[in-house]
Amino acid sequence: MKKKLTSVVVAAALALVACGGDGGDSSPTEPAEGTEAPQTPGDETPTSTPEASAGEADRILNVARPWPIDGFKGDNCVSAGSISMNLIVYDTLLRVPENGEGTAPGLAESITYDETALTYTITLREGLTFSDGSPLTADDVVFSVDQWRAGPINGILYASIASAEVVDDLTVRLNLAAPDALLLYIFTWCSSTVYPSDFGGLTEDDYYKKPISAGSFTVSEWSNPGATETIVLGANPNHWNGPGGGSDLDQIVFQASLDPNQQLLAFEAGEVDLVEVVDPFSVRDFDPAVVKSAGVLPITLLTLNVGNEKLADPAVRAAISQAIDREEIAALLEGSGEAATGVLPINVTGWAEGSTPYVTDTEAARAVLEPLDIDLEILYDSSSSVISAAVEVLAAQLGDVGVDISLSGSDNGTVVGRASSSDFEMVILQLAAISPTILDPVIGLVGLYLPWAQADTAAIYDQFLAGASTTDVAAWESAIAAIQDEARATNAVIGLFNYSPIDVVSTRVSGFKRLPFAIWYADGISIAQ
Amino acid sequence: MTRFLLRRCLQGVAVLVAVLVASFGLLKFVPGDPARQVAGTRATEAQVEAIRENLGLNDNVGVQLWKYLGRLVRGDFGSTTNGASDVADLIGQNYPVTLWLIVTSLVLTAIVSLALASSAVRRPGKLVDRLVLVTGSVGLAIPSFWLGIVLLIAVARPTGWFPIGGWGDSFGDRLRAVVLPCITLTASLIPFTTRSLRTSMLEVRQSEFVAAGRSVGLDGLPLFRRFILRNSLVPTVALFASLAGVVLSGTVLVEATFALPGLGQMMVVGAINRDVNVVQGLTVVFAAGVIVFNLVGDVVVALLDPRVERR
Repeated sequence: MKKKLTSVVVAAALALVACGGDGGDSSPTEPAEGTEAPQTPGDETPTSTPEASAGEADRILNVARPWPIDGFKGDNCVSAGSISMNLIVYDTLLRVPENGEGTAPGLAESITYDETALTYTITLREGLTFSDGSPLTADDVVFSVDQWRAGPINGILYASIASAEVVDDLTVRLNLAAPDALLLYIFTWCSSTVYPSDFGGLTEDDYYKKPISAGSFTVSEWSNPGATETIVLGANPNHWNGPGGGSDLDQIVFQASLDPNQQLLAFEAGEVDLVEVVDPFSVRDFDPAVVKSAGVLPITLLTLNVGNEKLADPAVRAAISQAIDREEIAALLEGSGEAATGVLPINVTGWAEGSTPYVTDTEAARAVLEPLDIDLEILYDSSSSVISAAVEVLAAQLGDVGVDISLSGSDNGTVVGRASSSDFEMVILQLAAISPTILDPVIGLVGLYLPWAQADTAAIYDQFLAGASTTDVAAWESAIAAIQDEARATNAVIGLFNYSPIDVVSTRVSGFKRLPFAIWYADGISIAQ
Repeated sequence: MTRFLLRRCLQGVAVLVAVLVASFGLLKFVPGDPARQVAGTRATEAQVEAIRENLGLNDNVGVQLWKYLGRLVRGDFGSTTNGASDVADLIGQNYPVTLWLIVTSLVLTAIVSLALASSAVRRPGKLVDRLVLVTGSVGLAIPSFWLGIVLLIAVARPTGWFPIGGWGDSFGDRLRAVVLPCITLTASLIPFTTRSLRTSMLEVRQSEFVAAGRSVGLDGLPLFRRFILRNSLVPTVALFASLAGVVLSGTVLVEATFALPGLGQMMVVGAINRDVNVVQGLTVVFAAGVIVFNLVGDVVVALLDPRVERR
């Protein structure tokens, strides 16, 4: 008996020891099994590597984040985890400037749009190289454009491109099949990532495990891909803006995990320098010097299913809008948001207010809704504490005017799944710009939310086409004002509030700035020793 | 013993297949569209439909299940729905953390339960016995996620002895990283096993063979070890094995609280993302783990009490 028990204990100990050196390690200093790409030219570069970190790489920015990336394939980039990551790792032809207006040069020195000839001419910076030292030329851009267009997820963003051709080593011409002024802004987006021709001689799968890239930092390690992944980026010595994009960082270590409380405790203990995207309620007691508005201002919308008989009457929808006190809801956000004045996200180039702003009129709303004695369900993503708090207030406001509200909180997958099947009465959805033009969230409105609400999209779509055919910002503003008015008249989507999530940034870190559209670049970030 | 083991193994395989089919069916009823999750909220219906077709989600459920089982037999768990990673690779990278947590928790539970139950039965109804029962009730009442956060705030942060979440490089780092999660997980297990062991020890103490042992001059540790402990362990080992499922589900919360890169967090995110292959793959692993635990428990019980084998 004693021998048997001893055997069990020894076996358990051996099992643990066996676990000691394998891929379960999420440490940034030890590459994980199965995530290493084969030896490539990129492996021979003098970039900072995890192995070097113990002795040399002291300037490490430790980042905690709630979400994993969608992989390193630009076409997969749909979620917040991938947006900044792709821009840091790959860079893009154009960048988003700090004020979020227009575009700034990136890998391309300039891009010009010829509205008559329907061409874009891309001029690359001189002397660009990938992280392995190989030159980045027009051939690589043409190869990359072909990858973008072929993408099953984001490929539609590039549908207007008929062909891409090399003019010379530094110049590429894109021939369009139809006018597309938005493409210029899509070049700033995380799907517009530039790859070396033929993936630098690697298979596509191997390339995306550890890409050779032209961004300010390159991938040194990607272990435990998914919920608990660790991504270690090493400074790219060959970046056009200087090593590491002109930052003084040797490495950036991204650690994904689910619990924001744990991340904030790790921040307080000095184990983490930056916690990405937390809600304002979690950081009430934090030093204001470390609490930074993320600068992202997606709009939160109440979407009403006009195909539902209770909500088919425009007067009912108008009364629901009148019953909402947006200022009261925005006050919950502790300074990190503001009441909506339309249905599109603010702080985006081309945004314009409609001619008829929202008005709260409880008495008028009650006069319409109380006699109807209706009950309605609000479907919402309960994983967001901000939305959860807001719907409580919203339910109380609608309750005051005689609507019996039931709240159905669920996870994002269920909310989007039910919404996209029009299986809802009212649903809370968010809409954000992904590039510096207000016309791109309009795509979300006419392509998704209004169809989900079974509402007519013709009038808004016509305005969208009018705006998208030109680069004239005044024309955009005119189209957007008309769209806001149309939305205000039909009330299939009702604006509630614009909200900016919070980043928590150590005072040791300087140069970190979250730009609009959820992105940040690593260029210029420094960390005190 | 061979027939006994064979019978138990066949039962285990049947249970595994039943769990697979049931979980596959349940995932089909969960609201939410995996293709929409992959495509993001901005994708058009045409894009989502293309992804749905690519993922084989347009096949009927029976065909999907048949294809899945076919792949599984070949050891192919598929890839994550966004195609970024192979599920088997992910499980291979994440399982060591969960295994560490489970093994250390079970070892700690066994040691503490044995010590507490032995102390309690020395003087039943007296102070130590009552303390064991009361603290056990408290342990059962404390939610593990709350205890985890309290340990982080009250122990890890002020002392710096333990990391505030995360995993380590070396054996020592990992041991430090697993201490608080292990305490969190065992706090709700120890009361079960301690009470079971205490009750059976009290019963065995009253049995005739213990009286016989005393009559031939055995007392103290020899009597406890040879007569009381061995016979008391039978029901507790069975309980211990059946707690494997509780331990595995407990790791989901504990790993999230302590940011441990294990299978528990992977399961949560897989479910949120409607990643069928991840959830199914982990269901296989978890179900197989519970079956193996129970099989080992059955074998140990059979060794301790040969009558069990003949039943």
